[in-house]
Amino acid sequence: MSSSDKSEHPVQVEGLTRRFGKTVALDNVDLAVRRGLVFGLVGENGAGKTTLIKHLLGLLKPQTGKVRVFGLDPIEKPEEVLGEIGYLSENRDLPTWMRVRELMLYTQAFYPKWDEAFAEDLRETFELDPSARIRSLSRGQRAKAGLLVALAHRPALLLLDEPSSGLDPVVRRDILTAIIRTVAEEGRTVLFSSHLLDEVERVADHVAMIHKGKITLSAPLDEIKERHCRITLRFSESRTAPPELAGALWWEGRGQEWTAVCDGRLDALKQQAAEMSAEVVEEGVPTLEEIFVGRVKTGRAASREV
Amino acid sequence: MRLHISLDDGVPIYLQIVNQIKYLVASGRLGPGDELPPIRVLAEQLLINPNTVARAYRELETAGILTKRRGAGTYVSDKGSPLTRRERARILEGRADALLVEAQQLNFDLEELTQLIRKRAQQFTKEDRKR
Amino acid sequence: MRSPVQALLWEQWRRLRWPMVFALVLMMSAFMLHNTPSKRLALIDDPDLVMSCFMMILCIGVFVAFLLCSHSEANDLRLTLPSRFYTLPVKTHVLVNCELLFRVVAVGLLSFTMVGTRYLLFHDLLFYDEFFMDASLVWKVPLFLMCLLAFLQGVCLCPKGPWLLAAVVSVALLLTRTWRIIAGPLFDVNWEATNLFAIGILALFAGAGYVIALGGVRLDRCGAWMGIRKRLGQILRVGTGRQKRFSSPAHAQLWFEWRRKAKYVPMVAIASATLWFLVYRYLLFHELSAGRIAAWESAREEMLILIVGGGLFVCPLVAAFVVGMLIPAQDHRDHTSGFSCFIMTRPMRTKELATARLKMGALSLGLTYVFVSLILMVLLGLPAFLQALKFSWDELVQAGTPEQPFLPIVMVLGSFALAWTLLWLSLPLLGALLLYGVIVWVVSMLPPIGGASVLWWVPAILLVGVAALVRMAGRRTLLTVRDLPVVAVLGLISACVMLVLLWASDWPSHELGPAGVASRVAVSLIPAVAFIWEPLKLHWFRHR
Repeated sequence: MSSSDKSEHPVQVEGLTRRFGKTVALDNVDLAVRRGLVFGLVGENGAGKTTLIKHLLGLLKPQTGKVRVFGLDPIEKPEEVLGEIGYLSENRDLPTWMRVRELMLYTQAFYPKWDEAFAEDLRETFELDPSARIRSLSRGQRAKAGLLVALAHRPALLLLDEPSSGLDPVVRRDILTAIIRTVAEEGRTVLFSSHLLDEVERVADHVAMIHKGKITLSAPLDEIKERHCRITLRFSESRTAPPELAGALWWEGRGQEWTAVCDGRLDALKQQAAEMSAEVVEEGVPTLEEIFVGRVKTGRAASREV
Repeated sequence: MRLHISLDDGVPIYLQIVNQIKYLVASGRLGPGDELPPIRVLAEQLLINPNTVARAYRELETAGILTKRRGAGTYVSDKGSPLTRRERARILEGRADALLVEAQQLNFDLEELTQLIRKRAQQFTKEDRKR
Repeated sequence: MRSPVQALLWEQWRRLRWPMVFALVLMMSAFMLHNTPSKRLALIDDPDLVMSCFMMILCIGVFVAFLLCSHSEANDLRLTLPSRFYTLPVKTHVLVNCELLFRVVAVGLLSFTMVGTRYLLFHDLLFYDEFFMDASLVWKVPLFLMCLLAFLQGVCLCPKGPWLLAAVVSVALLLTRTWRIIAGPLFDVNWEATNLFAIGILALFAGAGYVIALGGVRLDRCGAWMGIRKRLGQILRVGTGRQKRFSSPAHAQLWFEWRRKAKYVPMVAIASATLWFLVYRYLLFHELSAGRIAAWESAREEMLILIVGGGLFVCPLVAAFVVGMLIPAQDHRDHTSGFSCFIMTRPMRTKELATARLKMGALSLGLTYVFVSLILMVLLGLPAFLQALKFSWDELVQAGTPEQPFLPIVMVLGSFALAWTLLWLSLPLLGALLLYGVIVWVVSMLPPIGGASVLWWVPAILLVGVAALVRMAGRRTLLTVRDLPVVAVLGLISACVMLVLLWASDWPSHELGPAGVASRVAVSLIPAVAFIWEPLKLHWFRHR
């Protein structure tokens, strides 16, 4: 990889495959995250998001393929790579016996770029008592503590694994604000995986969908929304099952009105609808959630057929 | 300045911002020379990506509605609303369409609707005179 | 599964079956080591005895520790029941019964199998006198272990139980030499009469453990402990933790390991020492009952005294080192998370993580030296013990028999001391081998090895030479996966040289069996194992 590539793409994954016994967790995954962007990773539970993030941290060795973070192999050079990454794990894996202040002091020793004033500021914003033990903190407070130590050294890459899962709206707001602030500072990148697609829609520049270890979609968010459409058809007579139209990902409805989320090829779809003597009642842009559900359900139906 | 972002519309976020700012300028709530919040602050306020806000500001700049003063921030340009008559007509057309659809649903024909509009216009001028 | 009790027992079985199999295998192999055919009949000349007794007790200790610690999770060593048990629709005493029942029965069965097999296989070979081959041992040892485990497990199930026990024991020990009072009857009373007495005391211990467990778990289930803990914290005015910055990542990581494990080290040290002592005290009963209380005449008693003394010193050290390294247990079945994410995402090389961990092992070792010394000082307050020890030592010095059980103990000691010092100093391979040489020299000065001492220098020099060559070839670091071949080669060389030297030093006359040789070679490889195991394991878990 050329040096310009290194600086342009902090994260580069090529042809990554990973098996655990017989199950295939990741299947030939290709990913390139551009600098200064917010990259959203969406997928069902067990689709492979956490596995992918673990590869970026060097916690798993690629069985085939290549992983490069800042142009380096995270397994060969954990110091350099991890020193520039701020990581919030899915299950907030913090030592429960530590106090908040101790956690800050301990983490500070590892990162030369730690900003003490900023850390103190964050701690006050998050309202964390410095002498409280982590085991006595609530779930939201633990997430905040984890986020604090991930942000305070101003990492070039912020890696968040399901940051908002199980948290109240106030904490979620704090997390989103942290993501926005990170990206607003020059050259810093954010990669986060989430189930909450409305959040992904708000902050992500680029979205990748994983389904059963394969990347089914990876494009800038604007492009995804332009490409997909939601269309409602009204048929002349009631139907019990949705019609078979090419390009339609997912159908919903009953009786005479049926709504589909479709992937491009709007004109072809309208033509087919006209052939079936159905009129187009409504047309619109679907939300990311509808697109995601549509794609996953298609995937599931396809796998069932196979 | 209060902007609202809705994800259900299907309208891209940056376009929502652009439209709302245009409306605020056109309706006078943002006067010429008023300062707009910095990109980062607006992004944090609305909880959206700063790049989206940056894109909206860029579009408004190219349209001439905003000017960027180096080091000092983004301001509404002094030239007043540079929207062409055609653009302004387009905004109104959208509103008129919505009104007409609503009227039809409520079983008002065009004559009744025009009467209603006239009555309201008179009301507005009366209030203006009072002020 | 038709009843809650069945379900609870099944869960324990599923969780503990592999540790139990593992422990069984360990113990059986210790036995095989112990009972290799030998021409000797007298105990004093049997060096295998010490090693294998040592291993036997060690295995029991490990096994017991394993079972006791079976609720550990990723970050915390957990001895009490996890809270998910409290929301099951069962009464508290059912929970406690199932926990205790399973393990006590398991230990009983295992030790019964062990002792029984031993008796069946070897009772007609007449290697050992009736002491070790007594049929009554077949039920006495399991009974003893079962009651002991019931007590310990009961104490552990009670939240903060081990701390309370440690507090009580240390107060009793230091304050009034109550030890003498407890141990006194065990020394003075006739065996036949004390059979029932001993059983009575054991039953008392087991019952006490059960009561403590029941009370503690009941309080824990209704959340009463939290209030108690808060109040205790207020009374003791627990500090607000660390305030100063760390000087380097290595320092921070060592602090992390220390804070996590240090509080367990003294407990494990005391527990293992006590266990060892109690086991041998119990076994010594049998001998005392024959009426030879104060005589300490035959060599057998000397041997046993030395075993007890040596074991008292070594067992806690081994336990301490193990504790320093192993806590917390990892869940090997979970292939996706493996090790704690928090540790694995530290921006340090695996070598440094391993170093911090090994340093902790070394630190815990150092701590234990201090504790064990204290315990020994207390024990020396027992005049009978001191007298016997002195007597045995004088005997050995005069007899000048080259093969002494003392030697393996000291070698183990030396290896651990070596590991400790060099890890603490983070010396590279060269320094490590120099220290090894020094310790071997010290050992060789001790009687009654005498003349063969100079021969111990040779392997040290050879290894130093090889290490110097290796260092010149450019490898400067220790404790990486890449050093594995180097360490393996050096270990092999060391083992071969040891074998050659033993041969050259007129080894047949020392009557060393193959087991004896094997045990010595194995012991000399312990530091290499320690160096390579930790970073290997970490590396494998980190980059699976």
